[in-house]
Amino acid sequence: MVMNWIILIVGMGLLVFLGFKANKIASSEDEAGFLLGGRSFGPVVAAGTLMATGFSGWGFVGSPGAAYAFGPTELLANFFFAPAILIAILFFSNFMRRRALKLGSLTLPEYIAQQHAANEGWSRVLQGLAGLITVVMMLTFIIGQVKALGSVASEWLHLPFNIGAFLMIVIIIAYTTAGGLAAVAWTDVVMVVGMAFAALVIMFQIFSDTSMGDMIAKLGAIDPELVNPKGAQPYGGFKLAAFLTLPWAFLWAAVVPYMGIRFLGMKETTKERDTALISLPLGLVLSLVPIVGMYVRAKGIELPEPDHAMATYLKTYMPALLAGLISLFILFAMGSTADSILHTMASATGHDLRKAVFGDKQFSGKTKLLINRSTVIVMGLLGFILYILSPPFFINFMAYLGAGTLQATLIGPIFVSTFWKGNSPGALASMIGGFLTCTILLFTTKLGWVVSPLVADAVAVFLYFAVSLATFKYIPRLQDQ
Amino acid sequence: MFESWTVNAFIISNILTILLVLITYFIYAAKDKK
Repeated sequence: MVMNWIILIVGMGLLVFLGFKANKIASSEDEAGFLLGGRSFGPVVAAGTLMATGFSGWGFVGSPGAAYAFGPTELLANFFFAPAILIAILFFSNFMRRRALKLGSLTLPEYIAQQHAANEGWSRVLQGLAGLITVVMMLTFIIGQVKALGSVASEWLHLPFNIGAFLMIVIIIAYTTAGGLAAVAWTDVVMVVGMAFAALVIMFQIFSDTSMGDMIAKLGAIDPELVNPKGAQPYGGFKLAAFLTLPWAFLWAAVVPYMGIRFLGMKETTKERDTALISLPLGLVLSLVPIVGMYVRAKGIELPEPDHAMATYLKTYMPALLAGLISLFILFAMGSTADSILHTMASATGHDLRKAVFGDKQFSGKTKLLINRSTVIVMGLLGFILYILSPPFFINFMAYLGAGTLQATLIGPIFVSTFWKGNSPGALASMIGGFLTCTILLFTTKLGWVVSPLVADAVAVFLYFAVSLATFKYIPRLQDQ
Repeated sequence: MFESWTVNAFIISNILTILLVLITYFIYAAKDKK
């Protein structure tokens, strides 16, 4: 118990230290310091932050929970996050980074406005709407992350659930406020090394005890549907649905602001192939974690709810000291996503909504920094309060709701516009149409977590093309300078 | 191969991902040299 507190203080102390080290970059007069880490990320930082953010609390808690409930379908579907991020790095990041640099975009909502808006009015509407939807959807996502943080921290430190969650969110607020995106990215690198170490130790223990063949046989004996399902639940009722996480996650990595913003933070000389090569082993190792859920199920352990799979595994099969260390690294996994979401929400509020409301009104560098930092604190605390007020839920669902809807909202004006540029009404129609279609499908149909956003993506892309083409006569697309 | 199509698909996907990154790496590196 005391040992766990020592591990926590050392681990979190390191993150806070890095946050304050990054303060120099964040405090520069140029807002890009806080919002984009001064565009300073080399391949190691870029790879570390992309993988740490991509593999979140859901990778370590929600995903083993889903693997416990649904078997290796989760292992397969969850895996596609790795190639999806890699494909986004290799084939998309450079296009967007170059264009955003040319336009001077500091956030993705601003990128949308600068790509499409011919005048100040349209610019404020587009940036404001994209910023607003980003904040709302990221709030749903951070509720899931806070729950995940609370569940591990409270169990590990023997604290009441809400105190554990609060302690973690305060630490994350501290370093994100101090160092902006640079702090988020640097701490992500430390965290992803810990996460990969945790995954390796867990795999070593599991495969010292059993083999994949044995696990499959035991799961098959419990329920043949677990190992050879006719469909791919919970992703959809047909086998192909498990593979749909690849396009889903690719679009998520490319356009959801808390992932895509990292491309804008990359240094001009950073080569995408180096970033991908460093990301590859991290992605492969982290993708193995859902096996924990299969292992616990194969061992015949009954859980009150599937999300307890990882905590039960650590308590049952890991020596106390290793379990403590791994718990810290799991907190890292959650923290590395929560800090990115927090930073994105703060940027959307402090930068995008500020510009939407105040237009071109000039603020000093110091005031802008103060606004950006204050919004990190406000958004972090708001996420915590909403979590306290929210009903019980499956961690995965909150993640898919937030990320899926945001992806459908932004696919037209961010992804499609990089290759084929529409106009302001096209961007607006695509955002509204994508957002509404996705939320309606997720709440009112049984299409599944992945299929719903993909259908909404298709609607959003169609609207982007159709409305742009129909209105080009009145509002032409912006010509590149 | 294992008695589970999901596990087998997982393993094949891993191999394809490694190939994708390595092949693209060398193609990009060769392009840079030109």
